[in-house]
Amino acid sequence: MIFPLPDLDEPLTGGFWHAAARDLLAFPQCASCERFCWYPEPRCPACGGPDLPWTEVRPAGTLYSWSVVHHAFLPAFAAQVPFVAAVAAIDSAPGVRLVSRLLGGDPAMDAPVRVEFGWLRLGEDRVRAPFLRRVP
Amino acid sequence: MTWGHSEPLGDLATGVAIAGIGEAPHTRASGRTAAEMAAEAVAAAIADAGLTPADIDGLMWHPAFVGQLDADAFRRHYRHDGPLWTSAQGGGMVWAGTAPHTAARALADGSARHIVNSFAVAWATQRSAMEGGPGQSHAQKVTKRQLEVPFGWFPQPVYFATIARRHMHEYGTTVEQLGHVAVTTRHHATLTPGAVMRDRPLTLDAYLASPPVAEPFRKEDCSLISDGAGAYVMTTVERARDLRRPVVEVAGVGLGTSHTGSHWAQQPAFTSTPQVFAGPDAFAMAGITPSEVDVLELYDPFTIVTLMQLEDLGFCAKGEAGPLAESGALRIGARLPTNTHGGLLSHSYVLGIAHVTELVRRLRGPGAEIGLYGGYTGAQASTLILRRAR
Ligand SMILES: [Zn+2]
Repeated sequence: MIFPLPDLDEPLTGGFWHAAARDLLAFPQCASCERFCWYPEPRCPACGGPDLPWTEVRPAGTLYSWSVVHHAFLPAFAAQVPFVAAVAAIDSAPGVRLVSRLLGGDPAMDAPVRVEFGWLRLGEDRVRAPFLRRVP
Repeated sequence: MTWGHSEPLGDLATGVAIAGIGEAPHTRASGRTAAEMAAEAVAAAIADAGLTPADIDGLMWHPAFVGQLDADAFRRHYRHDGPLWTSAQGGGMVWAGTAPHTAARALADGSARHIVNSFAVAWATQRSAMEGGPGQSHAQKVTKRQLEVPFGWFPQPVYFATIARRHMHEYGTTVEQLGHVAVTTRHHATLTPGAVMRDRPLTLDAYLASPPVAEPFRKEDCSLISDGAGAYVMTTVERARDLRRPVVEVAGVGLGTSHTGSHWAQQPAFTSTPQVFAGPDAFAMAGITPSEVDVLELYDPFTIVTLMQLEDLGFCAKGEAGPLAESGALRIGARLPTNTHGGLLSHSYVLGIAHVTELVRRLRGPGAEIGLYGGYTGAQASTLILRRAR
């Protein structure tokens, strides 16, 4: 896969992209203490538990912050700017913030957003990915 | 659950002074290597202290950055074959603040008498060749490469623009207040020989009229990319009294760590820095309060980081740094002169080492007795309080 598209088979983070390929939003959740562990780590930082299955969550959150990016910091982004790089708190996964892009514009602090799936594209390659959109 | 902690450094093993400071020229792409520039800064610092390379028996650098003046390079450059105590916990960023604490142990137990710490970057030169630079190391980190970069939440200007936006929401910080930081810092650079932006004054109107890079940031909210180096020589306070410069001693050191490291998106206290953990330890060690500090040099990769550190170190209440900047308090001659050389924003991007050399320069002169360096890597912050010895 061409950088900066993700490697779907990267061991630590691949589960996120495999879920996205099925239009699902999933994060690792500790089997012993039920805490979401994001970003992924080999063991739960709270209890040390080694079992962290990818757990599907409701695709809804609130917009925590964003930046409208005008400068193409990587050549790959030249055809995409300006875009809204955004961070959203995920309602049903306490402590988890999803980094993504807000589609459809109109960013507002703490606004409800839904996660919708679309394609991250680069040249001939594409990857199914979760994006954010404000709830009307 | 708290989001970070302070590292238990313990008291200084002995009184430490910064007895010599030196820099290599800060420039746009120079074609020089980091090692060349580091050697030049080290030579200047040794001479400034009134010492010779043969007097140096301790060396600090940071191996995470290429081309630093490590032990092999130092020995080759100076044909130095005497004993050499070494530490890879030196360099810029937080280490420019904690190096004196590390050095104190070696000075106390007799491992070394004169220790030099240096840091150099050739990122302006490397950028011309599209390699190196601050973004590259982040793109190599698997979680960032897999979970942030694909969406374009990358590199540092985008992270900190996002943090600034939240700070504006939580505390009412304005674009104009960010602009005051950029304008004040630039003003200081215009007064500083050797500052990269010395001949480029900036007005608030010009700041506001400039296009956004990553909203709310304009180019002037972001650090320069430059080539250059800095170094300082440490010895005991006792020995420093026999050297040629006014004695500037270490009064306090603190180190704070964020549990989310450089994953800013996941940091629970999104608009804070680990200075909230580092600062109190340094102030306690120094036995002073923020109100006693005369001059501040704060690691300022972005305007918002200056504001957050002012707040997190207790120079104002959380959220009040924007109005503080707007009031003019950060200017030379005002209450809290901050980044008096022009900082990373307008002086040079040598990752804090020039902040420390500037702080020492200020404390040698009249008008400032106590000064503070705020170091920052994102994952960690350090506080170094220096004082002119009586
Ligand atoms: Zn657990």
